[in-house]
Amino acid sequence: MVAALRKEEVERLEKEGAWWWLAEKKRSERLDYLRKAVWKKGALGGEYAPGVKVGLERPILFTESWKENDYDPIMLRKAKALANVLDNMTIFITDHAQLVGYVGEAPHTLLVLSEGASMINEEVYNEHGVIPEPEEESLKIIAEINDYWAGNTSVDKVARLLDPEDAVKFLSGAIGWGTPSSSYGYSGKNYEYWLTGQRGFEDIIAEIDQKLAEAEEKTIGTPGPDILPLYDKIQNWEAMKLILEASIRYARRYARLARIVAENFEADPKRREELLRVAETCERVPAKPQRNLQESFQYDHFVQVLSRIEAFEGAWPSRPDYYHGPWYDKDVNIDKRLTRKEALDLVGEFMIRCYEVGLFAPRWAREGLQGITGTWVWTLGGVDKEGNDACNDLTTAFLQAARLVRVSNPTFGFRWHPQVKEEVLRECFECIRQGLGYPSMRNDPVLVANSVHWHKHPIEEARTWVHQACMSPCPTTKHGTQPMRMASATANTAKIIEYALFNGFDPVLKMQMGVESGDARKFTSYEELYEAWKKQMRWLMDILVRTVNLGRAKDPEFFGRPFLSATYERSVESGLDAVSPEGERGNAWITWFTWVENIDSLAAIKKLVFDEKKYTMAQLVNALETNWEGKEEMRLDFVKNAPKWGNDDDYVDQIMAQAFKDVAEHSWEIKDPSGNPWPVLPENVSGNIHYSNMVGALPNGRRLGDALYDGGISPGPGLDKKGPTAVLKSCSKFNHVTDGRAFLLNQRLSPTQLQGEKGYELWRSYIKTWAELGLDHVQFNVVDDKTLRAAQKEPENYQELIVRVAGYSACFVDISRKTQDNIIQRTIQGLA
Amino acid sequence: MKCEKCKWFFPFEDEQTRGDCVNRVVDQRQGYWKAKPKDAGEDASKCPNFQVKGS
Repeated sequence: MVAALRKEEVERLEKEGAWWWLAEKKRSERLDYLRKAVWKKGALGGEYAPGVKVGLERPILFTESWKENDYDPIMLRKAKALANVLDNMTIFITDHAQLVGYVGEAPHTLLVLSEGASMINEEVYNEHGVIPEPEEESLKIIAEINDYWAGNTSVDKVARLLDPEDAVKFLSGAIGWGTPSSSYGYSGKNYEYWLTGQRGFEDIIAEIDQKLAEAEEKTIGTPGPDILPLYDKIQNWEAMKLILEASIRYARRYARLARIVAENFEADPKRREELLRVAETCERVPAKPQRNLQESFQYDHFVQVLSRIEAFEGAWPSRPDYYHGPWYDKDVNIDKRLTRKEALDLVGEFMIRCYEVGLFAPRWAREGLQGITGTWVWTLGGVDKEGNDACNDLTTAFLQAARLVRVSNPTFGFRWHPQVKEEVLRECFECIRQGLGYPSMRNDPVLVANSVHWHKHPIEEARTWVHQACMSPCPTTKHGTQPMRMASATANTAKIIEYALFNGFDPVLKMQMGVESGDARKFTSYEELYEAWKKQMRWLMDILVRTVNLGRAKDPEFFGRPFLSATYERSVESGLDAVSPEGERGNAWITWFTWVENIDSLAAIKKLVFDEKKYTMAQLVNALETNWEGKEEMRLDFVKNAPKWGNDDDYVDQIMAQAFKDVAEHSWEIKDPSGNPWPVLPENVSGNIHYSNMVGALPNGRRLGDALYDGGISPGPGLDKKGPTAVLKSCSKFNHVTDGRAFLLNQRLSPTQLQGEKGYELWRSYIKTWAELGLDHVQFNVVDDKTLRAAQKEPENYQELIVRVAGYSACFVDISRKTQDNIIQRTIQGLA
Repeated sequence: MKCEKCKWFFPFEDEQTRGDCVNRVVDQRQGYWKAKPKDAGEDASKCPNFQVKGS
């Protein structure tokens, strides 16, 4: 009777499309407990949830050891400090959990990194609500630690080297965001080195021992210049070895705790057995290579946690179906050690363990990434190194588990290619139809070609690509893995058109920022305006890249990554910090926020000022200067009667194509520290809301304070009026291989239209067109306005309602009202 | 009252002067077990979790 009632309820919820409530009914008791057990670490709008506190054990233990080892070089000193954290920090095991490992001393804590940036340390001290009780005592500890690090963090050290004018502009908050240091960055994982079942940490230690023995032999041999670098390298290898040994001890602390609880406190025999399996798993990995799915997930999770105890890693580049798939196959299909349901529990928990991770982020990052801790996009599907379909049973399991646990972090990016099987594509569709906002669809052949084009990765390596953050592909190989994607190479590009119109002066900040490109009031042709625009574009790319290149080059000296280095094949081989540019092929990109405003603004000026001569440049600049005050009729003319991107209109689309060509040309002129180019990558996260008060009025009709467009190459909300194919056609008018690194496209589809088999057929046909037109990315929101409005009214009833914000998804109730409204305003496209 | 006398203290097998203080916590969202290394001889007179071994 109960089962029948449950079935009836499930059918009703399916019919109503109440997927978030359906997930709760369908998932196992374990997954339900673990999903609800998580303390939400993504900031709600810009604020942390009540009860979430910063963890103090890591900064205390790290700083304590750091002070004691003043004479060590940075890598060794840091390895010792981290080992002190790993040996002494409180660890915990959540009830029902089969996977363990966390960045803080309790489930509700956020990791704090004192050695990264003083400006962020000050935010920790001043942030209301996150200071642990007793607050006065905690504030005293934080103040003492902050005082110790003031002026000595990695970002402080980089800032002192910058040109003072560059530093002021870079740190103004108007043109870019992020910190030029790997202390707050995105670090790729060299999965090909440690996760393929060939190596555990003991094997890496043996390789390091071999290197140490060879180097030590040379340093007492024939003198010569070749010996000199070895003295530093020996210290680096020792640091790597030290941190690997500490990591093995850390894992075994979990094994010990699991065993103590099983043998002394646990009354339930089933749970006792699970705890003993946890103990066995943590004794095995990361010391030795994995032998089954649980060990494989646990190994991976330990490395992710350890990397984040070392640095604030804002991204989670991963390809879990590819690397864990063989173990799923072994356990489920070959040895039948796990049933599919048991395996699904593990897969779901693996996602939850990621969702749980919380790192204290400064306010600008919290506002720009509302609702999540970082851009943790896991990569599924794709091809293997030989170009064959790499999808496996675990690909399907991840897509199914996602619908059960409905977490907003990680999300998935699916590498579509022509060989993808129908049943896998259906699983992707089902996730999208059920309103997860993911997977985003990535065009694998286009992106593999893109990696080869920009960074000269050999095709076999390019095919290993994972999302380095939201969007950018990066290989997982020895020379392809990127240790430090510098988030600070993120441009608020709406400033390009603004500065072109104000001769480099920032009308919001009230200071000269860009280059002097001429008085726009006196421009007599569109070409003159466009030349000014190009000057500002180049200036913006240059200032960000100069700063970030410096941060990258100095990072081994100012920050140091012993753990990351110990998991990088090229570092273990060379004895260099993983962040050293030596040996990396390069994978840099400039994230290109608030981009389409440029194109719509240029098109509006071209048409209304220079073609139709309805207004003069002076009238326009005056109107913008006063935020269109008293000029509402004129403003509406610029909104309604100027061509808008995304309508298959060559007038504006050709401006976009030309702009990308010019940007790409400059991308080849500017180089990263390895001498490689800096292509751009248009996307926004929720920067369109964060920057809305920093960008003044624009010729597309925007006013200061209005939300900017939702990003990438997505048309302005409500401005794409010609249907979804017209959007795709506009987006196909530039080259997705040679004009940039990747191009984000948001689309909203109607949930009603996507119902049933017909809905799938419509979507599949859309994807076919998208792929044939050569676009590299598309992602969908499939939630109707009625549901979103209801969630605004009763957020407590819609806790697991997820939306696609930009390169990431978030729970709708966790983002600000302004961002919520911006999503509702996006055009709902009807598929034909 | 020293940690070594407490029922929640589990000495390390290879270093009896130190061990794990193991505790049960139930917060607003979940129950969990935690462990933190302690010196066996550490003063536990102010520890709210102290319970004599065998009690």
